[in-house]
Amino acid sequence: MLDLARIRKWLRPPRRLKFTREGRWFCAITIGIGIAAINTGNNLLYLVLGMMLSLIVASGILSEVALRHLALFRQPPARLHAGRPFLMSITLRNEKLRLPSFSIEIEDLLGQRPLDKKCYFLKVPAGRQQSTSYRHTFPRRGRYPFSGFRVSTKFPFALFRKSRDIDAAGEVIVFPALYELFAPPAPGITRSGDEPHARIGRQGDFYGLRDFRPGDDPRDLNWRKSAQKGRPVVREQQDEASRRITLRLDNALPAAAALEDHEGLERAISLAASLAAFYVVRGYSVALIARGQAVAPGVGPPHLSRILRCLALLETAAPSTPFASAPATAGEWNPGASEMLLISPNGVARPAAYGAA
Amino acid sequence: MRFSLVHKLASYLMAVAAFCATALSGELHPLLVWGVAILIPLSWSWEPPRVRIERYELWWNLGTAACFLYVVFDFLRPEGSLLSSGVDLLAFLLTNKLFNRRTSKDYLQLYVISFLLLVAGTTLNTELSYAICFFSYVIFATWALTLFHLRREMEENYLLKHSGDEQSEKVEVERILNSRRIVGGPFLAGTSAVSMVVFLGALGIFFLFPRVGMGFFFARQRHGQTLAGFSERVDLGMHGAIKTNPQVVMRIEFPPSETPERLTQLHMRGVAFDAYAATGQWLHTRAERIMPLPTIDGVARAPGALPSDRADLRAEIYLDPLNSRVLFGPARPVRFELPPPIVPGQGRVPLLTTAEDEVYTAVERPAGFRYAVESAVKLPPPSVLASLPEQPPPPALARYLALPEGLSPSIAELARTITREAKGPYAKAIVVRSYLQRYRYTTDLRRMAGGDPLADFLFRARAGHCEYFATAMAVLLRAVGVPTREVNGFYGGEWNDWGKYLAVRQMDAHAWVEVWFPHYGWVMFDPTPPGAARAAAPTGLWSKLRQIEDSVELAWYKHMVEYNLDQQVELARTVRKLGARLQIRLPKLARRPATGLLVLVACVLSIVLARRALRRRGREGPAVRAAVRRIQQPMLSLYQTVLRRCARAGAVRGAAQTPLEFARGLAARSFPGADVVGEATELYYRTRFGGRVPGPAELGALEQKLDRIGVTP
Repeated sequence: MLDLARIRKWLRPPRRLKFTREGRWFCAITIGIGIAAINTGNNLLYLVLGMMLSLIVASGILSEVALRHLALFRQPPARLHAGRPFLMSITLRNEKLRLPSFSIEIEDLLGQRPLDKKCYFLKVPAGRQQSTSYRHTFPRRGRYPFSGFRVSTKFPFALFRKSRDIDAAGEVIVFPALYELFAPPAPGITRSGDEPHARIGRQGDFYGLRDFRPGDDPRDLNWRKSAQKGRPVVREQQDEASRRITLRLDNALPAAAALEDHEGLERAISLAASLAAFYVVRGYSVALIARGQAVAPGVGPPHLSRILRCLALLETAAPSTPFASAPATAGEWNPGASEMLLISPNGVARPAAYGAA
Repeated sequence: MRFSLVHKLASYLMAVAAFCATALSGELHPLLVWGVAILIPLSWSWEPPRVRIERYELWWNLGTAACFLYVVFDFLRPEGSLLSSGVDLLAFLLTNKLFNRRTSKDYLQLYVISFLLLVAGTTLNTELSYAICFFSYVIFATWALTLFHLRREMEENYLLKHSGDEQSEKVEVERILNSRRIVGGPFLAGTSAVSMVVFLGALGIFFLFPRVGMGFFFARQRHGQTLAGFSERVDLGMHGAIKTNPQVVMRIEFPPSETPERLTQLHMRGVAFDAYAATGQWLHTRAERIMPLPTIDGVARAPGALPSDRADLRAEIYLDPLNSRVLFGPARPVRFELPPPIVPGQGRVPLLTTAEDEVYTAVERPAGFRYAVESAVKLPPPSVLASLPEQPPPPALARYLALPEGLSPSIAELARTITREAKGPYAKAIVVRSYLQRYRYTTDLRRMAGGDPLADFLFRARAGHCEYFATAMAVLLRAVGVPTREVNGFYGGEWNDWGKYLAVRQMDAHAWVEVWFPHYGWVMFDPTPPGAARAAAPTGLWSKLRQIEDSVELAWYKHMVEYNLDQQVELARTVRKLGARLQIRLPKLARRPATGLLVLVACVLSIVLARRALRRRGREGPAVRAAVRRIQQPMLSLYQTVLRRCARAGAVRGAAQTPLEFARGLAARSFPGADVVGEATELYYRTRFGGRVPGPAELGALEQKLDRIGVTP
């Protein structure tokens, strides 16, 4: 099996050299001076010609020195979302022991092509490292593989831009875009527009205050409010059972789906991600079920990352593909006992239905 | 120093070096040179925010337009030259740009103008001053161009400040331009070292670039020295005026076997005159006197040389640009050798000669001129000359016996009196010379106005300089029937111990007499009192410095300005000879292919080992150690944290334990987090000994796992 990446790497020139505008002029003038020197026999013109050619050679050597012994690291933010700008931190370490590196430009190589954003380092002293970042926005969710960095410099005379590629493989997973939900669905709904029916329980988020009734647990007394009102007041909390959400995402698309359908699915995925984020942030245990994919229920930011990652990499499925069976990792979890949100590209789960912007 | 200040300084120095390269040629109008020289320092502080430059923009534009019109007008004049007019415009534009520095674009234009001035200097100024300016330019240009590049990069969009989700903003460029941390002493030293390499590279390319020219537009110029006493007519007294001029006229190299004592006694023959006017002028009388001097491969037989003449001295002469086309030769030149042309295919300079045996180049020599002369220095033995019988000279020499009309009769009378007892031309010449050498030598002449200068010298002043002595001898001998002519040239010179050559200056100008003898032709006689005509040899430190400067100047002309294909071939031959000599010195074994290969491998191996040793040694320097420490520090600190965590959990690394042994020990006893310790140990080894230091992400990932050390899950 041919490894195209490896072949490409072998064929890749070790350095790329490109004229700058000034460099083009400089070379043209050098040729002109050379012709004038040959024509006139003016030895001092030969001297000037020698200086110009030496400057070109010195430029090549110094730029090479600047580009050598550099180590580069990228650090993406913990979460990237499609359509949302992020800062990619780039660290450049000059591993030369004596010489600083001047005027270094770094481009991240997405696949084999550089991103349109550059990081510039004016001076990195010997043995030091510096960090900067570039701002970028990925328009779509998914996996973005980085192959390395393109390091270039115009140092010292800006006659040429010399660049080399440094291998530093890595990837980022761009999570689906998140909508800002103005009217988020409260727990207990099963379809869009249904009223929430929260149940009161012993544990969970704060639900409200009411007067003490006989039989209430004295531990629920809110002493401050009781003192204010002059009568015993207890706090009510939501029942944990009502804080379980299953997001059921229909990622099916027919083979001949139109572009609009694909966009609809993307919106549905974004909505699912937005809802997941919404509920996880509020302490809900959230599970995700899609055709061919499922994420077991869980709570907390790491779990949200799991869901978002699954959504980021979710592919369209054929309509015949069944929904994945509910994950059984969460011991007592019973999907039937949890609230279910149905999200589909062409159904009620359009973002607007939830007041998404 | 602040970055912007260093950049400005480097740009100014570069501009000044380029301007000096043309200004020191002496070809520019002094008013322009002084004007620019005054305005350049004034422009230093003329910049925003101190001055609102845009208020004066209109005036500068009008000035530029006016200057351009002047240059066009100047060029259209019959004697106008594009080069000098162009340099005037460039000097104005340079000043304009220095007063209007705002953006990096202005600096770029300043560099272009200064470069054009440097190029113009190659034609206008071939003096040593150009070499100094060029050397300075290389250094300052390296600084300025490097700093300019950094400045422009700063000013462009690279320095962005990102913060969270907010819009990125440009960092204030002014703050960075005023930073003192970007460039300092080491930076300037480093770029100076680079400029040295550039300079050496320029020299290397200069010497190696093949001189295969077409020479369509050979237009070099040098401002020729005005040389008195070498034109068609010479007035008595001219030499007195130049006796204090120390300007070098020519430099002469001799074979190493010659002694300086002998060489500083040489007469360098230049021009000769056959007619003397009583009013005190020497003239040429033959209108058709100039004729071509045939040369074969650049070698010409000297016109005055006799077939019996044997050359016993060879002189390589480097003439400075002069306003005269005459070629000089020591004593009695026998052969002239011309150098090959600088531009191949151009042909050698043709030579001309005259009835007075002078040698001229047929064309003007705007540049200096190099040639060789072989001469017969030894005079015919006095006994031979003395034995020649007195006989009437041939009719062709009648003009060398002519006395001017109106010559004081007392002069002829004096001649007869002096030579009364002398028999033969040689005896007469000796008697007259001895008589005149009793006179006093002086350049401080108080001549009687309107009188006969020769009579004044002989009967009243009894003192004068070489021209008077030579004229007196020539006229006195003519009065007694001996053919003579007056010769102008140089006598003596200063021996340069540094360059091992004779430097002949204007103040060494001299005049003497040639007396005609049957079978021996023209023989030189110098009636000036011995030692009087020679300027006192300067001594002391100043003189030494002047000698050094002069020898450098000669080297500059010889090896740079006049460098040609022949010298290049000679250089190649020298290198080849050197190689051949080295090959001879190699043992015979080394010349066999297999052994040669072995030697080559050994050489390469030694170079590699030496390089490695040097690098290892280099790693021991404090700066290098600090750099290594800085690179490794984050990982080393993290490993120390790992050890502390282990110690807190009861696992202390023994003093005799290596990190790997420690990690393996922990893994063997299932210490909680032993895998983390193992990972940390691997990174530690990689950092310390593998030269691959982990990046922030890798360190961060490891740091997050540290909590697992010593904690049972």
